[in-house]
Amino acid sequence: MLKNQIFSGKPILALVTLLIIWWIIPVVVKSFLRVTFYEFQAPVWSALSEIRNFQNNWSLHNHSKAEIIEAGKDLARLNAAYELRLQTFETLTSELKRLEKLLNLQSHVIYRNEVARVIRRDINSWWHQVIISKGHNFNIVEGAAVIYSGGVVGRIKEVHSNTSVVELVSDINFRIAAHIENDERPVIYSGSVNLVFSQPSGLVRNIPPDVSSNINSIRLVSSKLGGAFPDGLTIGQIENVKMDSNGLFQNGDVKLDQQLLSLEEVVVLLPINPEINK
Amino acid sequence: MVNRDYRLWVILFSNFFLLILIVKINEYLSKWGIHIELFSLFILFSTLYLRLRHGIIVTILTAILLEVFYPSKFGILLSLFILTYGIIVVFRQRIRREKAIHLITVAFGSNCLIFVIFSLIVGINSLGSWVYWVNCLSNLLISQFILILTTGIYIKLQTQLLYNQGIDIAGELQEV
Repeated sequence: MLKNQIFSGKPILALVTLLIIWWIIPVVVKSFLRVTFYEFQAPVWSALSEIRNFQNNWSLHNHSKAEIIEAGKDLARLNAAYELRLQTFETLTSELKRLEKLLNLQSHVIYRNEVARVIRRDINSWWHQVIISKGHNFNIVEGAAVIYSGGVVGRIKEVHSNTSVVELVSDINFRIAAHIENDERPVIYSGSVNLVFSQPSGLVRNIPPDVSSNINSIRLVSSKLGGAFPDGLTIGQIENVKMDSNGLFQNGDVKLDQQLLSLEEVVVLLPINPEINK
Repeated sequence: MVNRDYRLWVILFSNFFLLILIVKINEYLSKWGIHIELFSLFILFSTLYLRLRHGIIVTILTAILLEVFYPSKFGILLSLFILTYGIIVVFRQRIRREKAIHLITVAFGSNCLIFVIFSLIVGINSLGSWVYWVNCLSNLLISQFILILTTGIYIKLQTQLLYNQGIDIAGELQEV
C-alpha cells in the first residue's frame, strides 16, 4: 500500500523537476529551441500555402473561355488606368525631387515593395498576427510597415530565415501615430479586443475637441510620425467619437476593414535609405 | 537490435497533423472572429495510454510545436501542458479508458483548465475588459463543443495508427 502511494507520487515529482529545470534553463537555450522548432515547422506551412495556391489555380481552370476573355478585357482597362496614374506619379515624384533640391529640404523616405503571401493566420482572443512567406532571405526587417490594397495591415514583429511574423493593426498591442484625413494634427491609434462575429476594430485617442463628433464616419490615416509608415494610408473609419474624462481630447472607435481577417497577400514596405527614416 | 517501437513518433506525427488541421480550420473561422483551441486533444492520448517517459516526451515536444508560433512568453503553454499531464496522470488509474464518456470528460475538463489559465496569463492587459471575457467564453464554448464531437474519433485514430504499426494499446492496457 505504502509502496503504491510512493509510486503514485513519482510522476508528479518528475514533472515538478521538469518544470523547475525548464524555468532555470538559460534564455539562450530556450530561444535556440524556439527558433529550431519554428524553422523546422515553417516549410510545412509554406508548403500548405503553396497547395492552397495550386488549388486556386486549378479552380480557375474551370472558368469558360468567354469568362476569361471578359476578365482579360477588364484587366486591360485597369492596366490602362494604372498606366496613366503611374505617369502622373512619376511626374509628381520628379517635381518633388526638384523642389526638395531647390529648397534644400530633407528627402522623403522611398520604399521598396516586397509582396508576400500569407501562409498562416493566428487571429484569436489573445493576439492577431499573420505569418508571411518572406524573411531574412528578402531582407525583411523588424518594424517594417505591412500594407494591402485597403491600407495598413500591421508591422513586422519577428523575422525568421524564410518567414516573418506580422502584428496586425487590430492586435491589442499595436500602437501607431496617425491623423484624421485632411487634418495634420496627430492622434494615437491602438488595437483593441474584438468581439466574435463582429468587424475588427481599434481605438483612437487624443482627437482634438474641435473635430465634430456628429460626423458619422471620418477616415483615419497613417502619419509619417509613426516611423515605418508613409503618410496617408487608410487605417479605418472613426466612429462613436466622445469627449474623454478630462475634457481635453476626444476618443473614438475605429472600424477596420473586414478583409484584414482573410488576407491572402500583403506588401512589406522597406525603406531604401533607412537613415532618412531614423 | 533496432528499436521498432515507433509509438512516440506516431503520436507526435498525429498531433502535428491535428495542429495543421486546427490552424487551417481557424483560418477559415477567422473571418467571423471565431477561434477554436483543442489543447487537451494533444495531450489526452499521451497521458492516458503511454508510459510516463514516452508521455512526457510527447507532451513536451507537442507543447513546443504549438508554442513556437505564440507571441506570449515561451514556456507558458509547456508548463500548462505539464501541469495538466500531472493532474491527469494522478487519476489515470481511476479513469476507464475504454469508455468514451470518461475520455470526453477528461478532455473537456483539461481543455477548460488550460484555456482559462492561459487566458488569464496571456490576456493580463485585457482582464478588466468584458469584451475580452465574452470573446474568450464564446471561443471556449465553441471549442468545447467541437471537443465533445472529436475526442472519441481522434483517440480511435491514434489507436488505429498504433495498431497499424503493430502496437496494440488496448491489449497492453488489459494486461496491465
